[in-house]
Amino acid sequence: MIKQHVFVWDPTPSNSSAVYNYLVKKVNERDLGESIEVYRSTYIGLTSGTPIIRILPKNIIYTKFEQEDLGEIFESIVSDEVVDRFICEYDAKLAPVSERDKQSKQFKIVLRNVGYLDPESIEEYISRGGYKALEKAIFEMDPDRVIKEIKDSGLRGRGGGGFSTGLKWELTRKEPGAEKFVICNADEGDPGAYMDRAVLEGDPHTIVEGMAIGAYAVGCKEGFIYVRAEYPLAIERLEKAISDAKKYGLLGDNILGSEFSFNLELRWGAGAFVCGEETALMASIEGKRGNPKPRPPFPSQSGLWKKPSFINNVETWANIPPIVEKGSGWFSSIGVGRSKGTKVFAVTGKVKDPGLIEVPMGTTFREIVYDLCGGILDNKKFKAVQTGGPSGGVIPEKFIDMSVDYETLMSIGSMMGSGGLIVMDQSDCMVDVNKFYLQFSVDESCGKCAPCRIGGKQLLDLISKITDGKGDKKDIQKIKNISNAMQKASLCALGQTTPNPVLSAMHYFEEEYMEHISDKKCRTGKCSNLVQYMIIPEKCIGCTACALKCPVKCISGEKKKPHIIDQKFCIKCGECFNACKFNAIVRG
Amino acid sequence: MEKMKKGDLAEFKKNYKSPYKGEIIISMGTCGIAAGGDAVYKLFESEMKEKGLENVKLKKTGCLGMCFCEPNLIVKLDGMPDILYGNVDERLARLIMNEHLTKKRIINFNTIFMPTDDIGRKIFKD
Repeated sequence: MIKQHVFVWDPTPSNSSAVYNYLVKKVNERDLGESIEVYRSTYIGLTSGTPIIRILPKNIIYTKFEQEDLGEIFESIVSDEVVDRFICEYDAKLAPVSERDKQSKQFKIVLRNVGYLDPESIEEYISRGGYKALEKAIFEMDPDRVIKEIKDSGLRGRGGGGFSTGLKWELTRKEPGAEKFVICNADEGDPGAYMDRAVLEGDPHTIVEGMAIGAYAVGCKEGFIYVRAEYPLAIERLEKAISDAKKYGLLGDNILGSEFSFNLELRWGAGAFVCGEETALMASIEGKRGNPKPRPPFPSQSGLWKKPSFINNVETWANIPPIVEKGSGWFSSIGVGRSKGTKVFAVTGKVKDPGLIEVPMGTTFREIVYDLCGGILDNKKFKAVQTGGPSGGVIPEKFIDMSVDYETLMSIGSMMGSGGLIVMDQSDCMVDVNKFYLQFSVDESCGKCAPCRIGGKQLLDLISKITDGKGDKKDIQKIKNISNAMQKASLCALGQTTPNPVLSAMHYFEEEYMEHISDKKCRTGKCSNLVQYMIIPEKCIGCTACALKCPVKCISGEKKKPHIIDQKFCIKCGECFNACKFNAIVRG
Repeated sequence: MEKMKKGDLAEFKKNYKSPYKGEIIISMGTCGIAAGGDAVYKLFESEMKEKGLENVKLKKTGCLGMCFCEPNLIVKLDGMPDILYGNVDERLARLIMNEHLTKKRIINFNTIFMPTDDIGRKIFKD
């Protein structure tokens, strides 16, 4: 008989897991150690409030069972049978595709090879079916057919805007002129986002293959990958991928012996956030200062060196080979509404298991935060999630069951963005978070147009005023007016979207904003100018716990006698507040 | 290397066979390296040679996405389930070599289960 491996995951600390202990006891009682082995697992790919059992080699997952059901489950393992009613099956309606990973709500198209394949080995990529899509496109499809396939698939730009990729290709193809360019935007700069880096470092050949297919469809001979210099490993692996592909005849002149030739080069970005904007990026490739240009003319008409050009994000390019290989019908069966396929998210912030995940469009924030990332750290309460980085907005708790897709996010004042999700709990102050993002946008503004350069700074000053406790009710209207002007008059998306986080936070957390302005209070204690920590003498027993924790040693007092905080030196870090076990310290 | 022509890719894929009996795949994106994946890789590299474990391939890969337990690695051995170990330090690395690779015993400590299926293979299967 084949040995069965039983993995037990328990939300309670695993050395006291009743499920694990029961199964081990049973195995020992029946002396089945040779055929069944039980393991404690600290992570099993998905989480839940109740224990999970995963049995190999059959790969069965049981959830939602009670302690008294364990006997039945154990017997089924011994007799090599399956208990249907505990089998964990995730909602199949979102992705009725056989490849879907039924065990973890994830569905990997973009990240299909990342973490499994050696990114420096082209042999391994080919052995996993790599470059097959390129071969199929060149020899079995004409360029119009490739474009039609991409258009029908419903793939939309993954950089944040959500423009139809197929349409973009078609517009560029229709432009007259023999020389056209294809560009990959790998200038990922949102705080907390690292999806593109993972793809570039983990599967560089996918990008090369995707771009070659795009070049074939639109009719380009040359392409550029604009990658930021802060990703040295990505650059190293991309360079190796390009030179390997050339050696194998998969890039360069007469690809795979056909008439089609395509050359790919790397361009390094020097770290300016605005260079992720398409017109600024093209200026940067040309060797000019990375400033955006007004549109029209659009890049598809006059882009790089005034030639028709089209640009897609890393994640979009990684979607191309599977679509060409499997067809548009396969791709458009994944996702909801007008948002097809999957989206990669970099989940950071106050979650237990932060990481990189790929889910079908239409998954809810609750599934992402609680089922895939283990819930909020220290079991605190969920407050909001920031999507789209400095151009997006906050999503408050009331929308946690909302589906994640382009339209829904737009309708609640946020945006898909490139895919950074920052999860916040009750200890995060929304005004403070806004100040952080504004500071980022102000630093990164290129300074070319006045609404962004001046408006951003004015917004930052107003928000700083509020966090300093000098806010006025009139400031709210001022913020709205400036935001409105910036959204309408800025030259590029950087300026147009700078006010987004502030506007959405003011809308959903108005109460918290007003508290800062009228009561001069910050409920979380993050805005240090609005906070004062005090010791209530009646409650203080003089345990010295706070005095020991204080980093500036401004708490004094005799042992077993009430202590006192010297406000002059207090830096308002809140350490004493957290250290006190007697509720003797108040935040006011 | 001769340049490939039409049909060569399928031929290459068909004939591509790994001479190894198993693989150790270490997540080494920038994040994994920063968390100490590089040191783990070097340890495996030198120790496996010493212990004569040359039928197991040591391989680098990109970021698996499991930031909360880096550095992490997957052990794939013929006839055994794929196991992912997280928070791999020197002690765990040695345990993996002495127990998992040599005696084929999964370490019942820090066993993080392989989170997802290898979908990449399924998408492009013939």
